[in-house]
Amino acid sequence: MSSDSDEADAAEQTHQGTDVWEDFRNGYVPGDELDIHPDLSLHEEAEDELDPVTYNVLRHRLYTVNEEHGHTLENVSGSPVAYFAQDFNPTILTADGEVVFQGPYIQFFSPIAELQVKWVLENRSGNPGIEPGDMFFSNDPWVGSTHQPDVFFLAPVFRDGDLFCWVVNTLHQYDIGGISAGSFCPSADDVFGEPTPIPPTKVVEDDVVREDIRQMYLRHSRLPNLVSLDFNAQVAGCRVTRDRIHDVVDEYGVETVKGVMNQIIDDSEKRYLQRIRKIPDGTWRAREYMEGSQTGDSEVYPVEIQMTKEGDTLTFRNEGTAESQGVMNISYAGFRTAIMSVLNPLMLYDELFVASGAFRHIEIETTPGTLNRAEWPAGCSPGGTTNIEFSIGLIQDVMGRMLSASPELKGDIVSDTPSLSTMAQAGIDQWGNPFGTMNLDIMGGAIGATPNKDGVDVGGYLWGPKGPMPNIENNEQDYPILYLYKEIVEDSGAPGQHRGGATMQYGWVPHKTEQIHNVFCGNSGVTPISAGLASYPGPPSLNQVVEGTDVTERLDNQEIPQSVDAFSEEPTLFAPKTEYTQGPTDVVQARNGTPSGYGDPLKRDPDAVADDVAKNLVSRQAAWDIYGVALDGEGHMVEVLEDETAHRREDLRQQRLADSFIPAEEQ
Amino acid sequence: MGYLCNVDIGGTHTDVAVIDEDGNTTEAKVQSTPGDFAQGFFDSLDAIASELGIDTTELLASSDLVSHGTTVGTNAVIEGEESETALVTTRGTEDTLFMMRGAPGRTSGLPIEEVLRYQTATKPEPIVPKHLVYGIDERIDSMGDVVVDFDDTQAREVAQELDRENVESVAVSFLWSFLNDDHEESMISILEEELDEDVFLTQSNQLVPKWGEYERTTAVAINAAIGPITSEYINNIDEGLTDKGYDGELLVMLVGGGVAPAADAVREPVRTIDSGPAAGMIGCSYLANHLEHEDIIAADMGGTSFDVGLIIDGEPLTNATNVINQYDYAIRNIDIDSIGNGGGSIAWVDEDTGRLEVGPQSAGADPGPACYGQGGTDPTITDADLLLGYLDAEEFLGGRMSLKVEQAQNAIEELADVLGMGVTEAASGIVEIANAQMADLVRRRTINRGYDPRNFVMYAYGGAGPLHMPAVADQLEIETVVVPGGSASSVWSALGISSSDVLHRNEVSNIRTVAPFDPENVTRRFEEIEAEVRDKLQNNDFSEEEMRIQRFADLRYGAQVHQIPVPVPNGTLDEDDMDDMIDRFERKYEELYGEGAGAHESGFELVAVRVDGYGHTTKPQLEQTETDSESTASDTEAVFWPRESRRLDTAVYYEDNVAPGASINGPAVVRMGNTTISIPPNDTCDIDSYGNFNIHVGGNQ
Repeated sequence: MSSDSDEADAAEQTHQGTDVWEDFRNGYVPGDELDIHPDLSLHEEAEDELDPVTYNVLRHRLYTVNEEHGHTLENVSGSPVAYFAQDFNPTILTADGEVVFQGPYIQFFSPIAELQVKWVLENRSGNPGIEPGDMFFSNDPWVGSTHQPDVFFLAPVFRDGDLFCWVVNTLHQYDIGGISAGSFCPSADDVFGEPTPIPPTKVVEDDVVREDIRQMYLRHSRLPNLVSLDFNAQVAGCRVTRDRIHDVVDEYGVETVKGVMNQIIDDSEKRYLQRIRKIPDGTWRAREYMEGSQTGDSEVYPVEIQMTKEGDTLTFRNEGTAESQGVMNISYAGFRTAIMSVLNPLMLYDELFVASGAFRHIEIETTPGTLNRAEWPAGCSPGGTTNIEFSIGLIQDVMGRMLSASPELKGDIVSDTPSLSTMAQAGIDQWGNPFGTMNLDIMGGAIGATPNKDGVDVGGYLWGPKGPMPNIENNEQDYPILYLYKEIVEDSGAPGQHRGGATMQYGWVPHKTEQIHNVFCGNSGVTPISAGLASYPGPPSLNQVVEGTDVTERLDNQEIPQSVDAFSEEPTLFAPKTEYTQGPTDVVQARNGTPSGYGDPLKRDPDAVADDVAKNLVSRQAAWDIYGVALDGEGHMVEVLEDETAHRREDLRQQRLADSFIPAEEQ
Repeated sequence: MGYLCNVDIGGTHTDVAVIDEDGNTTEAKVQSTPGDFAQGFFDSLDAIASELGIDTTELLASSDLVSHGTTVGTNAVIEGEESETALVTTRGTEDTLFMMRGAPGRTSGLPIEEVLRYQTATKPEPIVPKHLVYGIDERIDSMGDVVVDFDDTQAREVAQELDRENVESVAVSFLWSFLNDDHEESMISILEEELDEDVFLTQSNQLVPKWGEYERTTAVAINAAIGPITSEYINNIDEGLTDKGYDGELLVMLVGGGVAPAADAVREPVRTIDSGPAAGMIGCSYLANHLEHEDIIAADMGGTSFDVGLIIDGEPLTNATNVINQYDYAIRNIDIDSIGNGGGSIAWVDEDTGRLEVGPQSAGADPGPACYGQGGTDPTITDADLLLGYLDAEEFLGGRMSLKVEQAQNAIEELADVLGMGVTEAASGIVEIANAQMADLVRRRTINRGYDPRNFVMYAYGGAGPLHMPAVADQLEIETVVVPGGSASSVWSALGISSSDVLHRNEVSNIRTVAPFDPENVTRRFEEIEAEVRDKLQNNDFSEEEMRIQRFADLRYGAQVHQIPVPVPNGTLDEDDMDDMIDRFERKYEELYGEGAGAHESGFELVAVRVDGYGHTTKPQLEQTETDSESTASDTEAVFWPRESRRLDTAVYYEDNVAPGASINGPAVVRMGNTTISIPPNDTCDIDSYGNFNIHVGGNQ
């Protein structure tokens, strides 16, 4: 019929979408108004006079539905990455792409589900269209992924022909291609050596998986079987959760549920505004260094951010940050999600981590072509495992200092977050099959200190409320490695009035295999983040090897070596980005990074220092040198010598005065 | 047949239920005595004996069976009153208990609000102090092969040092001991030689032969830490009972759903943790068998918490790990979820958002709800129940206590003012939120795990369960709520113990057999562990006829980690049984994760086999004589029904007004000795020959 096609033509003319090639180059930044094809109708009516009881009931119910989405991913996915470390997160979003709830798993996946959904609305609503029963998937860092191995599945939920909301999950894939096993590719020069970015693509149509698209995707991987199970898990997760949402809507009605979603976001905005208004205007700055932009590079590069608080608005800039280097960059999406990953635990901890209301007051004015705003084709795959966490630490630093400007909010500071050093491993396992994994002992990080208490030793990360690390037996079962030790590191908790959390390290050799290929991708050797709130930083992550040891003989002689220093050969430090093939007598030791402490160690309760010494968390040397605490007793029987401690602390204070100097500009 | 006598000790109350040979149940509640729990145990026997009009010796002399659920172990862990315990483990893994797998140590078992709050996050106190953890140079690998020989000399030195340290108990946990326990056995032998006889020893492969060193080591460490205190307690009770004239065996309730003779229970006290709620579930399962109900939601609302478990096809669902004090430990337990939502839960208003919230904080037993008049000023669910008209202020707990309406009024008024509501409206809001939270937990347990609550019958018990569950059931579209045993529902966990069989469980994990499975091989695996289970039951003097053996196999898709247990028939297995096993696994998988979620193209793996062996114990006869009685309401009162948003004339019944055979139409409340039952408008209720109140939600039968 001619009138229909006229209308269709008219629609085509009014609907443009975004300039996708510009998005693919500089990163998609959604405008205030989305350009959605008129054929797609968004559900809009919402109950805005909700009674508080119904509201609270549905708020909890939706949270639960989303959290349980995680259990489906965990159980249906085949990968130990999902099962033992919960390297995923589910998200529920409104029809137009605001985050309603994000799960308690890996935090930096969810805030940018918003970018994915909005981009799909703008660029897929006309062609191929968004219909009930559809699902899209995407891993494009320039649309809205942290890096290519983090794959998003997006499912629209329709009611009576209108788009009602979105269900999304993100799951880290062990391998979807690129030149390095594990798909974070430190040896790549740019995006062309990395897994190919997949912009949002319709992979399920009318509830049927598109086999051609699925095969195209699996064909990228070194281990298509493993990725295939993850694929099933992501589809199952979206389906099951979509059904649960329908149950809720069936029971309470579309308008009520929509009203609840709106109010959840409005409540989070309200909470943000209450807090931000207790803080004076100002600008907080931080500068840190990233090390090694790709394999073979050990240069350091400055990263600077400025956060300005003016009225209700927080504006983030990156003046002074180095230009994009190698493959350790993050896109606009990566930096944006880092902001939200800090805002939630520091300012919205009692709003179930709903950051979208607060995001209405956040501006990002970073310069393209820099380390924290990559321009295509700068590589991003190692950025997702290093730069994101690094940026989180940097933002936590400025945000913590901002909170310290408000007596009321100061108690909400958590000192900072260490940089990460990830490790992918591949080879032939002890059962004779090819294997590949990311070793998730990295999840044994630590939590920073607060103005009121110590950090948490081996407590995980600020960006992963629930992410566990695997057992030794889990890893030894699936991979050909033999752990020699896995332990808490003495003196790794950063000194302070309140000590930062201590971290762990582990040493291993290949076992019942000829060799293991390790891909290290970290940001280790340089000074980690710490400023203003703490006297001392936490020690950084560190990977070392002793090659050609007599470990086999020692094991035969009933001795399990407990350190890389236990051998006659000197250990070698790995550069942060390294690929290394390990033979059966090469002992590798990996240590996770640590956050800083809070306040002056000379103010720490001497009994707390004695307790730490008794538990091997602090050495007697550090107790004396750094905390100024004199101790008596042997082994775990440790007592504070009060007079000596007072003297020692006084001496250290005098020494500080003697060592102090006039800042440069006053000389 | 004589009396079946059951005592269940909780944190605040010790419940006792005695069943006579006609199935008549007599119940009593006394205060628990945390300083010396044995005191409360014998107090409760005195109380029930006087209720029966006999003395305690007479009661015990004519008891066929005394069974006991104890919270002594739980309490010791929660209160940090464990014994001086050492851990001997593989060199290099000494920090396993302190690392706690990272984030789980900071979050396990906590409500989401606390999980997300890094400002207050901590790990719990260690079960074993760092200086009492000893590493031994020895090593087994993932195939069970020895990589480092066990070092005898070093082990003996450690044992001698433990002797000097005067430890009360020692846990031994080596890597991969469930594949090869030679080293653990050697270590235990040396400890036995070097340490005093009364030092409590526990070995990981004996207690939990399972994959995953953290959860296995926490289990043995907890077992060791509470070993001395629990075994002393159980032995005291056992001796006390004998002194008072009981000549039978004391049975102790375990969290896995069975009971164990005292002599076995003292070796594995970690299995008594959380056994109270498990007993309630077994009671439900026993009753369900009589009522021919297959799928049940067991809903227990007490003073501080709301516990939910599921019974599927007549069997309670179990979980491979449990949590206490943020420690995950590998003890199979009847899977029960809990939230802080009981009669004593406090209602409050969030200052910043103005939201009305209920729990998880509780006023507990002391000071208790405002209406108890014991100094509590915070409004609780019980205060709201009182103001809405459900409870009888004068005749609360059968007249043993009177409630202070004015104090409840004051407490809720303060809250209502902040909310800009009337007092009744606020009270109704409290009840609605509490009910919604409980419905949420039930949804999480059912819908979110692939079960449809509409196909379930709900059993409602605990002091506050029978009052609140009919409204919760309505939200979930559950058609029938059973209040088991009427008034006895308030001591249902105590009753549940008497319906538990003796249970011995054995399993082998990490088998990694790939389909097609060889039926001969699988049969042999089952028979091996079955033999051990039968031996244990024989040692408990059960004859072959009194034994019931149940087999389970844990299957998974190849290349997957998540495993699902499916039942397997007894006897010699054939090819068809293998096919059935896979079919059952696939069906269950699709039920849980939706059609198409399975991955049969990657093949199937048999990962673990398990055998549960039950020894049949004397069971209560629950059925009573049905009378032809008509129930007559004693009065009509104006009770506020939140779903109707108004007060309705409501028939009020007391215990004496109702008997088996009677039926009641809602709106009605039935005020029993230790509990109150609500029958909402539109619902009907009949009392069956077991004394159960069967509430038909919406009036359908």
